Amino acid sequence: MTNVERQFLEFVFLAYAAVFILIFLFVTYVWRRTRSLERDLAALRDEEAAEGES
Amino acid sequence: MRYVRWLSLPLWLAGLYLALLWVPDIRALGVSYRIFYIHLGVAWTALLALTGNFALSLAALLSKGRQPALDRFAQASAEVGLLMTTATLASGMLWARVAWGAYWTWDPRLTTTAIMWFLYAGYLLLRQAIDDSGRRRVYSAVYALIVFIDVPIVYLSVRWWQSIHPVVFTESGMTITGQMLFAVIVFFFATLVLALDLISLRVTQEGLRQALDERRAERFERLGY
Repeated sequence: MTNVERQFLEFVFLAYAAVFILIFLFVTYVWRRTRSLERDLAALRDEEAAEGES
Repeated sequence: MRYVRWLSLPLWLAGLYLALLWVPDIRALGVSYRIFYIHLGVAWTALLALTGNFALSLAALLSKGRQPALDRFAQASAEVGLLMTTATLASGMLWARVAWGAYWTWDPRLTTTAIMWFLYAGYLLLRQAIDDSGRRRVYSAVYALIVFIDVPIVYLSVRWWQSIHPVVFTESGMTITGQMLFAVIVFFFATLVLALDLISLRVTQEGLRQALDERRAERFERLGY
């Protein structure tokens, strides 16, 4: 493999990796935020239920 | 949407196989040409998502707040459009380094795409800056209708001005055929399905946030705060 071919391969890898990392970061952020909102909503429901009982 | 989600993975795997192994190299650019497939997939998806943002913003404006989901869909499509534009710029810059010898040139296609990135980053910042949901819906929809002008300009820039950026659709037809076209189509659908899934995830999340806010407001009112 020549230096040029090696450089071409490196850039193909970098381009695909860059796109995957961007998408992965976005999905991770959305999932974490969704879980956090679900937890908050459940906690609020529990508090409301406890207030109703008292 | 659950079924669409499961369609995304096999499409991505097929796209990767086709783009990285199945299609032949191009003599001048060798293996580096394979960046083209992911670059085109995310670029087309970005333009479609931002066109969706335009249509949804118009619908949200015309509905006068009767359909709050439209505003949420408009926001989500702008976010995914911005993500795909970022991916387009990143993959494009890497390909440009190999093909043109520089990461960035002030080519019309590159410049208008960079402007599009800033315009939609501004759209999301504008939404964050306004607390009142009614005003946010109207102002962001009007802003989205105005800035959409850059989306067709991005597409037409290579025809209007002298550009070194490759063109896929010409007046005499498509410049790619056969195996390359098939790989492009598969990769495009893989990216499009993923984008729809991401938009759906964001809309669900925004719905949850809104439900939480409303419930908190009701509770504060009940407790007399």
